Amino acid sequence: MKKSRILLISFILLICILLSGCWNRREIESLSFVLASGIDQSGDQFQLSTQVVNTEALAKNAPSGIHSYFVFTSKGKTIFDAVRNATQSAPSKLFWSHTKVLVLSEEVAQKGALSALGFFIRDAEERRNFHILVTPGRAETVINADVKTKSLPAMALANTLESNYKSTSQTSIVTLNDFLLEIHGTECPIVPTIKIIKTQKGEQEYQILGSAVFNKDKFISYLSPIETRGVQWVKGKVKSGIIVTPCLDAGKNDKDGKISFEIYQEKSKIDIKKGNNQISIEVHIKERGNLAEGACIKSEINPNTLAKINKLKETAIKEEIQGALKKAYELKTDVFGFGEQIHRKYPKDWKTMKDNWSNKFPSIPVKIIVDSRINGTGLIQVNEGGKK
Amino acid sequence: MFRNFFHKKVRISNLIESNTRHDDSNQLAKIPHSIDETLAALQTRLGESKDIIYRCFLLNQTNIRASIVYIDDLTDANMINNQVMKTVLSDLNDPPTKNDDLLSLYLFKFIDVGDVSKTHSISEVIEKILQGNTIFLIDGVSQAICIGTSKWETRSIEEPTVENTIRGPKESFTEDLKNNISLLRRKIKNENLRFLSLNIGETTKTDICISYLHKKADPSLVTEVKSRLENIDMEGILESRYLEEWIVDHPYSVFPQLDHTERPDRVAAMLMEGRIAIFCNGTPWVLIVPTIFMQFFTSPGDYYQNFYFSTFIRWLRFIASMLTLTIPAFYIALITMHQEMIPTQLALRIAGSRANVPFPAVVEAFLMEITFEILREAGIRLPKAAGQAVSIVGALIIGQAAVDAGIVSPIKIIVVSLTGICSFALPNYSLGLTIRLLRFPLMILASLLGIPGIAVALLALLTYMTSIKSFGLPYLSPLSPLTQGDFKDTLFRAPLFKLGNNKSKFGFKPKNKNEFDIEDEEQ
Amino acid sequence: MNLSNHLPIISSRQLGLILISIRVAVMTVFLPTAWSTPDPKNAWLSAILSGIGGMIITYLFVVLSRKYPDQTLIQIFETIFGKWLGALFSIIYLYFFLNIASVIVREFAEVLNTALMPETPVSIFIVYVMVAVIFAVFRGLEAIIRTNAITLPISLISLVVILCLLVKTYHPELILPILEDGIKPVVRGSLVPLSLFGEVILLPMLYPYVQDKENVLRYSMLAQIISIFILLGLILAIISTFGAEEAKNLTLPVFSLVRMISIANFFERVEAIMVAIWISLLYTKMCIYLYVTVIGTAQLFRLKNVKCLIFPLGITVLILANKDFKNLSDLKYYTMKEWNPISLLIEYIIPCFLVVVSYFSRRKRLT
Repeated sequence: MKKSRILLISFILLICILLSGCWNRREIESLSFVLASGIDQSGDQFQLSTQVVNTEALAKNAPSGIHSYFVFTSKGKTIFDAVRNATQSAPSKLFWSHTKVLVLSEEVAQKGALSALGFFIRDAEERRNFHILVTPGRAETVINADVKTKSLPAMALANTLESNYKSTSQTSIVTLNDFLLEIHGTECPIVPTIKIIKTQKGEQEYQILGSAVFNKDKFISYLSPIETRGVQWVKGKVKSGIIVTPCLDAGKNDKDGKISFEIYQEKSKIDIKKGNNQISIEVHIKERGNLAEGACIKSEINPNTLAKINKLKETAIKEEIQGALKKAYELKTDVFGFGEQIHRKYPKDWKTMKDNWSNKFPSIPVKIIVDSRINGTGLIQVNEGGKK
Repeated sequence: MFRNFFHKKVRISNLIESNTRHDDSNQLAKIPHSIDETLAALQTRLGESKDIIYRCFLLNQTNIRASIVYIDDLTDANMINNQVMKTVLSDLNDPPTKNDDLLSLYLFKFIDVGDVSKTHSISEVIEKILQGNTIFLIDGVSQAICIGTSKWETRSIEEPTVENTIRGPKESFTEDLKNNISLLRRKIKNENLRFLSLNIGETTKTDICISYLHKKADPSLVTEVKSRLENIDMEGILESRYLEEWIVDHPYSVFPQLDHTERPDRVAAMLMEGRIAIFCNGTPWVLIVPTIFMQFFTSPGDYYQNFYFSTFIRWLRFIASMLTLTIPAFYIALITMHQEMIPTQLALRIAGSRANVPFPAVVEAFLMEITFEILREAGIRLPKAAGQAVSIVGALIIGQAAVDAGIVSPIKIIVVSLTGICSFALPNYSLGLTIRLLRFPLMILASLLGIPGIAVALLALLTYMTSIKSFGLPYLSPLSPLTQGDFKDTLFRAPLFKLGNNKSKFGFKPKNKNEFDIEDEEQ
Repeated sequence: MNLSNHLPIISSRQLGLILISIRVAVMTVFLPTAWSTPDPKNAWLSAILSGIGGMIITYLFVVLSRKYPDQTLIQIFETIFGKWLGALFSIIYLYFFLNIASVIVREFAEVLNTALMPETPVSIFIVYVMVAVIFAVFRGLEAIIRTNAITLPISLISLVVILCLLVKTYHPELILPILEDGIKPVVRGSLVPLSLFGEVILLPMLYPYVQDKENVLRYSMLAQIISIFILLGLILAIISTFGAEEAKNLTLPVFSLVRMISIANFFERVEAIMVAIWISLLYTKMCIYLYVTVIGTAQLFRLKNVKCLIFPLGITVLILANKDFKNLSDLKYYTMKEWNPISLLIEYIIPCFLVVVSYFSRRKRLT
C-alpha cells in the first residue's frame, strides 16, 4: 500500500514539474516555415535569403491579394549566425524542417559549398533530402523571383526541377545527402543550375539549364544540358528524354527534317578492365526508346529501316557521352565516378592512383558501348509520307 | 496491491457478518408452537404493511386453527383461491384430527401445488414470503409449509436495445431471473447446464444465479466465482455492475474486466466455451467470467455473417479504438511540438486553418473534446427523440458556428468528430467509456512531452494491461502470453467449421512455482 | 483454489524475445559497428564476426544455466565461490546491471532531447520514464516480458518495413571493396558489437523462471541470429545510403536514415514511427535491467520482500542517469569505447571462467 502511495505522490510531483514549463511548445500557425533559401556572398559574410510561407494567406477566409510568402534577408559570419540574425526582421524563429530547395550562388560555391552547408548537415531540424541548386547570378534573385505559380514558388521550383529532370534528363537532381555522398569519394558532384529569365511580358520565370560541376565541394564550371545528359548516361541516371537526329537517308542539309526519339534508359554499367597493368574502362549503356516523330522518313518502316534509324540514335547517344567526356577531361574532374569504380574493383591499384587521380584520369582509355533498341513506333505503323 | 488489501478487508468483515447472522437465527430459530405467537412474531418482523395478507381460518371444518400468509402483489391470486384455499377449506370425508401429523398430511397429501416445502425457522418463513411464496401455518405445529405461488408482472421479451445485430436472434433478457433462465434453457437443452443459486444483499436479498456447463467449465473456477460472490458484503444489489465491482480481480482498474451481455445467444456461446455466466435478478445484463480484453472487440453478430467480413470488422474495431485513444493526443503533439513530422503540404494547410484561432492548440483541443462529451451525455439524458436532435444540432451547429467565428480550426472539428465516431464503433460500451476517459490524460501528457509523453504512457498502460488478470486468466490473453490457437477467434474470425468444438482454450495454466517473484509475494 | 494467485512464469519464446529486444534497442539508437570500427565499409563483416562470438557465449550461458536450473547467476556465484567471494562477484554484476539500466535511461533521454525536443531538459525525460519503469517493475516480470512480446514484433516489423521503403536511396556499390585494409580492422571493429551481443548475460538471470527449459537453447540462439540479421540489415542500409565516411559522422544513424523516407511526396516524415520503436525498445530494456537488479539484490541479501527494493534502486538509477554525461556524443563515446573492455570482461571472460570452474567443481563432487 505504502508503495502505491509513493508512486502516486511521485506522479503528482512529476506533473507539477511538468506543468512548470512547456519547453518545446510552439503553435504551428506562428512558425515561419522556410521553404526555400538562398546563400550569397556579401563581402566576407554570408547573405541568407529565406522564403517564408505566409500562413495567413492559406487560411480559408484570407483576404485576397495577400502575398503567399515573404522573403527575409539577413547577413552573418556563418550561416547559423545569419539564421539567427534573420529574426531581426522575421516575426518568429525560422523553422527549417520543411525546406525544399537550397540555392547557392556561384560565388559561394566557388569558395567551397561545405562551409555553407555545415549548418544544414548538423541541425536537428534539417532533413537531408532537399534539393541543392547553383545559380550563376545572385541566389537572392531566385528566392525573390515572383513567378507564375499555382502554389508557393519554392514548391513550384522543386516541382519544375523534378519534372524537368524526369522528362529531359538534361539536368540532375542532387539532394544534400547525394552531395555529401559524392564529395566524400572522388566523384565530382554535378548540381543543377537555375536562372531567372524574363518573358516578353516582363514576368519572371525559372529556367533550369544544365548543371554545375564541383570538385570536392568547390564549384568549377558549368555543363551544358547535352553534356549533363552525357554524364547522366554513364551514371545510369537518365530517366527519359528526347534525342533529335537528322533524318534517315538525309543529306547534310537540315531541310530534310529531323527525327526525334523518346529515350528511356534501362541500365548502365561501368566495367573496369585490367590488362598489362593498364586499366581501361568500358561503359555499357542499355537503352530502350520509341520513335516519336519521324515525318521525314520516306521509306516504309520495316526491321531494316528500323535498324538504320536505331543506328542514328545510337550514335547520337555516343556523341553525347563523348562530349561529356571531353569536357570532363578539360576540367580534370571525374564527374562519372570512374575513380570509385576502380577503388571498388582494384583497391590496391587505386591506392597508387588515388592522390594524382584528377591528372591521371584523362589518360585512361574509355570505351563506350551502347545497346540501343526501338521498342515502339507510336500509333502509326507505316509512315504516311512513305507511301506517297 | 490494492486488490489484496481490499480482499483482506472483505474477508474480515465477512467473518464478523456471518457470526452475527448466525446469532440472529439462533435466537429466532424455531417457529413457536402456538399460531398466535407465530403470527405475532411475523407481524413484528414484517411490520404493518398493507400488502401482506394474514388469512386465518379453521382447517377443513375442524377446530384446528390455521393461517396462510402471503404478499398480495407477488402471488398468483388464482392459485391461492382455486388451489390453496380450496384445499384447506373443503369438507373432507375424513377430517384430520389434532393428533395426526398434520404437516406431513398436508405436505404430501392435500396441497395440490408443485413447489411445496417445509421449514421451521421464522427467518426462512419471512424470506419465503418476500419471495412470493404462501406460508401455511397450523396451530400446534412448529413448522410451516411454503407453497410456491409467486407470480408478478414482467416485461415481455423484446429485441436487444444495445447489442443489435443485423442477423441473429431478436430476443434479449429481461429483468426477470426466471424468464432469463428459461431463455437459456431453451437454447441449450443439455443435462450439463447447471444453475447455482445465491442470495446476495443484506437488504435486497437479490437472487443471483451462476450458470455453467458441467464438464466444460473448470470446476475450480466455479468454486472461485461462488466464493467471491459469497464474499460480497453489500446492502443491496440492484444491477449486475454491483457484483462486478466486488468480484473483479482489480477493483481499482479503469478497464472493464467482466463482459456483460443482454443476448441469450451470446451467453450460450460463452457457456459452451467453458465460461461462467452470472445472472442477477432485476437486470437484463448478464456477466461473463472470465473475460479477456479481446472479447470486447467481438460481437455476436460476427458469427452470423461472412467470416472475411467479420475479420475485417474486428480489425476495424481495433483501429477505431486505437484512434479514439490516440488521435486527440497525437493531434496536440504534432501541431504544437513536432511540426517537422507533418508532410509539408498538410502542415501548411493546418497552419493556414489555424491562422486566426485565438486559443493555443491544447486549449482548443480540450475545449472541443469536452464539449463533445457534454453533447453526448446530454443526448443520453434527453428523451429518445429529442436526444438525437440535440446531438445533431449541437454537433453541426456549434461546430459550424465555432469554425465560422474563427474560434476553433476546422481541422480540430474533424479530429473531434473522428474521435467520436470511432468510439461508437466498439461493440462494448464499457470499454468505450474507458477509452474515452483515458484519452484526456494522454492529451495532457501530449501537451507536455509530445510524442515521447504519449508513447511512454501507452507503454505503461500496456504493461498494466498485461499484468492484470480476470479470474486467473491474463487479460491480454491470446496476444500475450501467446496462445496461437486462440487467434482463430480473436484477431480473426475463422470459419465456424474451423473453430470446431474447442473454439477457445483461453489462457494457459501455470505448472511450477518460483521462489523469488515480486507478484505473489504479498499474497 | 484462487486462480488469481498466478505465479510468474515465462516461456522460452518470451525469453528469446526479450533477448532480441535488449540488443536491438542499442542498435537502433547508436548502431555500434559503423561508428566504432576503423573500417566502416566492412562493418557488416564485423557484425557477423561478433555475432558468432555472441552465439558462443549464448551457448556457454545455456550450458551454465542447465547445470544450475533453479538458480540465477547471483545464486550460482554463491554456490560456486562460496559466500564471500560469491558476494563480491554478485556485487560486481549487480552494479553492472544497474549501470546498464542507468546508461539506457540516459540514452533514452539524450536521444529524445537531441532528435526531437532540443529545448526540453534531459532530466525531465529521465524522471518521466523512470516513473513508468518503476511502475512496470512493480507489476512484475510477467508484465514486462509480455509487454515486450507485444511491442517487439510490432517494432521489428515496422523496422523491416522502413528498411524496405528506403530501397530507392540505397547504393549497394558503396559497400565495396570488401576487406580493403585486411582483416585486422574488421576484428577490431567487432569488439563493440561483441559487448552488445554479450548482453545475453540476462539469460542466466531469468533462466529459473522459464517454464519450458528444454527449448531455451533453441530460442536464445534464434534470438541471437535474428539480432545479427537486424544489425546486418541496419548497417548495410546505412552504409549504402550515406556512404561509409558520412555514416561514421552520424550521431543517430538509424534516425537519419528514417528521415530519408519520402514516397510520393506524402509518405514522408515518419520519424514518429522510429521514435516509437526506440521508446518501446529502450523502455523494455530499462525495465528488465532494473528488474534483474532488484531480484539479484534480493537474492544476494536473502530478502523476502522484494518490492521494498524497487523504489530505492529505481531512484539510484535515476540519480546515476542524471549525473555523469555531458551530452549525447559523450554518452556514445562512453558506451562504445570506455565501457567496452569492462563489459567484455564481465560478459565474456568471467562467465567463461565460471563455466570452467563449475565444470571442475562438479567433477570433484562426482569423484
